Amino acid sequence: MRLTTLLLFLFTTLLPAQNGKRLFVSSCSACHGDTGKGGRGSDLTTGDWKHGGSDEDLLRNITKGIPGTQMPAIPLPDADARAIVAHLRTLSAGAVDVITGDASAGRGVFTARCATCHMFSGEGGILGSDLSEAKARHKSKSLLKALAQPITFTEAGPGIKGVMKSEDTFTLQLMDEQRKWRLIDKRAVKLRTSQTPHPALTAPERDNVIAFLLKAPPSSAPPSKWTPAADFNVTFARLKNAAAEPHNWLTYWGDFRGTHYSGLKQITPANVSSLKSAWTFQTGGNTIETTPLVVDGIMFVTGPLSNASALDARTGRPLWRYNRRLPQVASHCTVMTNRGMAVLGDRVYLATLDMHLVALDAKSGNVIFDIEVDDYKKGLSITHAPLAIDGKIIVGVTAGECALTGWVDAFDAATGKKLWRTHATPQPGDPNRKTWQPETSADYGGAPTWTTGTYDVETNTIYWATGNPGPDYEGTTRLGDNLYSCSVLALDPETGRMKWWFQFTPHDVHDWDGNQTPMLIDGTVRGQKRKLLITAQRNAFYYVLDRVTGEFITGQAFAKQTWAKGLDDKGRPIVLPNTTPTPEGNHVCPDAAGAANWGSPSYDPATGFFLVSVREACAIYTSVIKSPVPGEGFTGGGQEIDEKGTPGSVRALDALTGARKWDFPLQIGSSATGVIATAGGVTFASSNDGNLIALDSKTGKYLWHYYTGANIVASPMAYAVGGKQYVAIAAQSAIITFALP
Amino acid sequence: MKLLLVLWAGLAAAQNVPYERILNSPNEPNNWLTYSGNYTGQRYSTLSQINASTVKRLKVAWVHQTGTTESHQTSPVVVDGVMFITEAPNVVKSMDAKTGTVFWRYEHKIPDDLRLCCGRPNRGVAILNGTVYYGSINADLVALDARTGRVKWTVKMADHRLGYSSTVAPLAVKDKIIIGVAGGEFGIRAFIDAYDAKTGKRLWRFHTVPGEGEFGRETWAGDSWKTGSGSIWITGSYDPEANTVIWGTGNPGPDWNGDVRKGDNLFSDSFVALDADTGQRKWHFQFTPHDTHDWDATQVPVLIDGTFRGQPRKMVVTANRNGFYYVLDRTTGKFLQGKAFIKQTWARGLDDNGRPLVVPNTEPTEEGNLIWPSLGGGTNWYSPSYSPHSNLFYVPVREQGAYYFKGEADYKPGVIFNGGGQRNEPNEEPYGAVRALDPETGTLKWEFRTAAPASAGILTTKGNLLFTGTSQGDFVALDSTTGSVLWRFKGGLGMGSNPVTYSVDGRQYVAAAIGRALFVFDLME
Repeated sequence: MRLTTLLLFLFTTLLPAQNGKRLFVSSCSACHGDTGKGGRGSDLTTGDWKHGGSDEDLLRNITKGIPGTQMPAIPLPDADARAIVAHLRTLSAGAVDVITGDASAGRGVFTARCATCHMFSGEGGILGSDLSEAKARHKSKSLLKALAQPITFTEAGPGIKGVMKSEDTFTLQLMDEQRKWRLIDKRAVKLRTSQTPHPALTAPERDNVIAFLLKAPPSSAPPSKWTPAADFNVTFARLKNAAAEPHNWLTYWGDFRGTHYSGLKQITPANVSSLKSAWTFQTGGNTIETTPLVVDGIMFVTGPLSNASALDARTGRPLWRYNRRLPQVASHCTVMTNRGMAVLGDRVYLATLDMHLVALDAKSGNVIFDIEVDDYKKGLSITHAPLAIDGKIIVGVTAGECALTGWVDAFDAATGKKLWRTHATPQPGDPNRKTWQPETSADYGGAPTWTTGTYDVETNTIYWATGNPGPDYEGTTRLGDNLYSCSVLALDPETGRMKWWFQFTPHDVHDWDGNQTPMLIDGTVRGQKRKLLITAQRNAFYYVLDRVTGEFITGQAFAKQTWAKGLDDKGRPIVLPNTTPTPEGNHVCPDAAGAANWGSPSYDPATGFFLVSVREACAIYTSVIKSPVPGEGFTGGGQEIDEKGTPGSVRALDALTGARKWDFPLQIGSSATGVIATAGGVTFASSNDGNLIALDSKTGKYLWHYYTGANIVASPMAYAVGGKQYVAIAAQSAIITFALP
Repeated sequence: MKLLLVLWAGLAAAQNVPYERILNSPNEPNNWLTYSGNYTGQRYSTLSQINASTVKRLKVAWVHQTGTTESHQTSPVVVDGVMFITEAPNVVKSMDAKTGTVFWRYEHKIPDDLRLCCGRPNRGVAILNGTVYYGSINADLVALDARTGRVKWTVKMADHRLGYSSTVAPLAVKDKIIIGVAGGEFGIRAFIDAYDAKTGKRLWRFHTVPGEGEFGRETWAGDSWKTGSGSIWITGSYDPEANTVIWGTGNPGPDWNGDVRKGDNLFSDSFVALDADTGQRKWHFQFTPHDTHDWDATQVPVLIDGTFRGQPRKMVVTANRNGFYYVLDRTTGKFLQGKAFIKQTWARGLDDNGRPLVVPNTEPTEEGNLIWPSLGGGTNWYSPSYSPHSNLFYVPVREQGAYYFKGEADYKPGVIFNGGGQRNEPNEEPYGAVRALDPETGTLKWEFRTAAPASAGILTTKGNLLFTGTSQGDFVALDSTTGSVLWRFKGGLGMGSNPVTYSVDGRQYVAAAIGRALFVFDLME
């Protein structure tokens, strides 16, 4: 070996681990000890990796920290973190595992003897821990030891016996023998524990089951059958009639129609001033944008990095946590966030930044299946809450600014099987492809589908909105209307067939995505009862459509705008000259974040008002011509907000006409704050500067506010447990709830 | 305009905290003028609007979220309606104590080559006259204009590249700012410094590890004193009559391998009593001679004037990380009484001089040696409290054992200098408690048990209340006489800080950093 080759060899093979040792000592040994045998932190020499054992897992845990533990994020260059991982491998190299059993025989043993309590790859029980990741986290020795240990049962009063999943000083989270959560006030009961041995296995059975757990390829494939738990079953019928159970919040919008309205009425204009903070849940991470779901006293929330938790909705105590192990996501193509989940049966569905659809057991948080929607490496991601309808989970995609295109996908809720995909840009053969000139511009033309859709039960139609065409600000390379960007699509849930579409902003050049709630209400228009779809758009116009036909009924500007003279009879904007971005810049209102955005609006049936968080800003828009490279930024220009800044308001419109009814001014208008009207006559609104505000629904009069101590990028929601009404809002790293004393 | 005037008035008043106000701070319980509330370290307030009967009406008045994911350990200082806090890793803020409105925010420039054992926390500021003092994670002492947050001066206390840092709230005494340096896992040689509050000029330095020719040098074999640690990371107390500051010192380095530093290793794990004007040592008391378990004595020394065995006595009391409660005469440092307050297996007890009677074979070994308490100790840095109202001493405790390992200990500048490790006993279910002790004897009066070992400090008030938090995010008010729970709030993430109380315009507030947010509570109308 020549010297240079030898040096190269040494450099590439030996040096990383050597360098890793040095880095380990300087960055990790304070907690894990110089030799990795543990200190304040855990022993790293055993080969058991509690939080995942792949290189990616270890890298993430080093650089991002482990939420809910003492392990901090250690910001290191990627090469250094990899060198530490290489060193960790040498530390645990001594822990070679000898697996003697027969894995295939072990599968039978597991199914027969263990699966009553333990889950593996989505099948089995939830009383014990999920063993799907045993391979990454355990060695045979630790499994053998665990098998020899008895199971502790806790009795918390007559007939309440089960496994304690967690406890704090005051409460106990018990899963009883019927697999039902019992959320116990420790001070109200006498606790007794008893121990039962693990099922007696013969030595070969034991070795085989360990071999199975440590060798069986963990499968993310859906299990063969699905029978939702009797005591936790959010059926399609329940979702359809969500209004009948106002104590729950069963979809992202609260119902299928996207009204974001609560039928609860305990909190009223008369008593709202005594509202107080009930509990807080802090994730320790950064900006939470989730709208929680609540099902019979259990709240489901998500964190920004596709994490999820179930909480006792009365106390904020976590019942389970799901920590997604995210790979390196193309953060320049998305917002690193998650806005919520869907629930169906006894599962919650999470769509992730790395383009997976994950079904979690709602009671335990165990992964039932985890399937790829598409390849995140293309620059795609998902941030919105899926929509669950009859046996199907519908998801869209964030693909707006990176020369990619959007679609709507449907999956079988039981099996995760993909049922259909409807593209939001015309594919070859679609006559509407000629709305893109040249036609190939449609192939990187955006139209992302990044907010949750709504669903009309009677006509069996999904309504899903689409975002801006790409490049955002440069239209000369994509002449034409650019269907189906900035539109709402009416889809047949069985096939994905587009029943109709309505485009709000043909040939958009201002980044005015149409991804606002396609809200469904019924109303009388010119003496006729009509099924309507209403929406306040980013382009500053409010629209009333017939949701059966897609016909435009009426519309008008609801906020300051300078780009259109108005809408014509068909709802098409009459665009003013010189409003297109230019290389020098053109001043237009609203700004790119728009007059309304993804924050949830609300419809109040008592007043007939549509309530929306409005932002009134103007900007100088500029354009540049750039060639598309999928996965790379493709905005074709930019915008700069003018000196007047971004004031805003909470605005009430007549839902049938868009006429303004009242206005409550906000210091900062935001694209990401929302409103909820409640049957008690109080409307709650969030503000970007961190307030939850209560207004009189009829007049918009100020009633109460609470400062959450951080910016808010989320919409409030309401629920009730044990007859007590709560209002919840996500603010930075906390979920904060409120109730009357 | 009216609002501006109110703000201006508040800020203007906040400029003026002469030493006499801190000295007499018990006379102005509406303010919280120094880390522990006053110089005694008692963390006790005579405010009583929030009391055992009204506390059930306590609610969140406002919240302030840090926005960082780092540990939030600040103990606010409050002056005439203005609150000063620190946030990890490098922020000082001034806020309206009534509403949380931020007046100013100072961000200290910190380098990216810090050498730290345990994150980048900070525990608070000191205020003197019109200046706020802050010790930075890179071992700078910074003086900020209390009105504006503008830097008046900055001094470098030590080289962060050698592992020196500062996390402690400074102590303002007379015209001086007293502060020390952390870095006990890096073989530093720690010290307590006094600086001229006006100019930043260093007035004296007391090395917690003696150098050549100094008292105690013989307690370190060979050159081991050069890397002896004895770090300072919790604020001391001050006895104005004796003009003595008393500070607790950290573990000797390396933490778990004592072979390389034979001897008692003064003044590690000690209280040192220093003349506030000169830094001259008056006395010292070492709790854990030749410590090999990382049991820093960095607890707040609590000064009590009371009776001991029928005689009036000036005492300093402490519950130490090593598991023992101590009563010392604070004039002489003489040991008066001691008693274990948690399960411990390393000492048979204390001798007449308070020296532990160490059980053989309790040192860390290569295979691991199971000892109680764990390295987290029987208690830790978070503050205890003494209530003159109940005449009880309260300590947040940890009941947990651990395997201690001995490892190599080669000192390299700026590199961790542990000499081993520790692993919690896996088959044990650790727990915590607030324990109320008879301050004279250390006898347990009551306990409030918590599901997990303690992580937060204690505040007591004349309203017969005790406030503390748990590592699972509960903030609780207990009856300070009986220990019964009177009120609680779920803050949602573990609390690792010390609560304070103050009042503005006749309304009492309780403030506590819980998780990553500062919560301020007051009574419902």
